[in-house]
Amino acid sequence: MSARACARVAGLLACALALAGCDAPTVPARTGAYPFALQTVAGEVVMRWPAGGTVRVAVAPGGAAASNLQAAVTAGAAQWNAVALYGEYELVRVSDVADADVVVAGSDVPLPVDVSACPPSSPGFGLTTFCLSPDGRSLTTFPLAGGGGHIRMVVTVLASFATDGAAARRVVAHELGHVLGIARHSPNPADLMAAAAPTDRPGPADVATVLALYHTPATVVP
Amino acid sequence: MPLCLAAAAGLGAAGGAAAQRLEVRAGMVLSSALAHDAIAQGSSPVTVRARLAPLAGAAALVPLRERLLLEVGAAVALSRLRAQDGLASRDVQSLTVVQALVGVRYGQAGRPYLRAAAGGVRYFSADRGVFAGGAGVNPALEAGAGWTRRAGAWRLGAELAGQLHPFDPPALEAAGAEKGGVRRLLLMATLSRGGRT
Ligand SMILES: [Zn+2]
Repeated sequence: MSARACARVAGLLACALALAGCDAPTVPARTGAYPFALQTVAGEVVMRWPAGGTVRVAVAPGGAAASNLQAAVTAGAAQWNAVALYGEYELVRVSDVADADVVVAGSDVPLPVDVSACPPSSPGFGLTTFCLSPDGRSLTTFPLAGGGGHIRMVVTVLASFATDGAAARRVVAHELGHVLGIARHSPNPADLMAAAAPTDRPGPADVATVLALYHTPATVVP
Repeated sequence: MPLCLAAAAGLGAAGGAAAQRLEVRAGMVLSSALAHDAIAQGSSPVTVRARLAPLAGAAALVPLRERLLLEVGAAVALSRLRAQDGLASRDVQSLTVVQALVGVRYGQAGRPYLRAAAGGVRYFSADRGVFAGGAGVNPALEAGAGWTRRAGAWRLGAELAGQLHPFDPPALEAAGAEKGGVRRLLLMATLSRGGRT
């Protein structure tokens, strides 16, 4: 190829680069998101952790199901983290409740926090408990039995489910959806966030909902 | 000495043996968006991009004929992935962008040179989010222009280049992304030694 031909090729490439209208890959809007807002006496509020933050989850020590619940938290966190395409949140299991924002416990073990100011109601398969602060913009902290800590949510899993590995994974994955801020249930019984979760992983509607939640302004930040 | 004389002299010296030279480069790279995501109806769309990043690299230049050099080079940019929606903008994770390109450089005596190259660009990042499952090697085209100035046994220079490559990591494909690409603008200072002039 002559030098002149090479120069022409270079010019053509330069033009191609300049003219290429090629835009970034675009993900179209997901469908199927269901309502996620928390209903309070004052109206609906959007509760979620600060975008880009880490939510630390510990399993309460003791009880026959503690190792089951630890495995379920690890698996459930991985499932939810996998759908956070843009680092919206990260669920991390920690071993010490003193380091945790959320504690998960079987219903047959004493809770490591004082819940007298905000007691859980009796659980179904599982229950996520939290209470709004007086100003309604954050959540109250459950003090550790010895004082201190920064636990703002308590997840209780019915003991008979906590001791069954598959059931524990389903219930914990579902409750972690509530922990992230999905305050309602999916109307589709096939979704993880249906009232009786049939699966241990988020479906397309659950993914659409949690992403919509984390790209909507929060009115309550735990 | 006129600014472009050194470049012209260097490039015009092709044709002889042992005229190969090594060039090191350092600069900055500006990237267009890596992805747009409409998320869901009623929520705020997201755009992610690699932040303006420092870049360093090296290239071997071998004369092919008068005014024409073969160029084989590689470079690395250390960046961070940044996500922005209508609510906030935040860094998500570290991002290292490595490129390897082969091309030609053409320069006429007394004038700046032009270059064109093709090769691959690969993004390295933590295995999560957009980069869960990796991002593969993306074929890339690059075109640029620059000049060099002789300073003793060395040549100093500057170069501006534009680069284009497709970007379709598995995580975005799984999310239903339509195919698209990324444009990068590279501004570099160059330093080289060797060759016949
Ligand atoms: Zn529920």
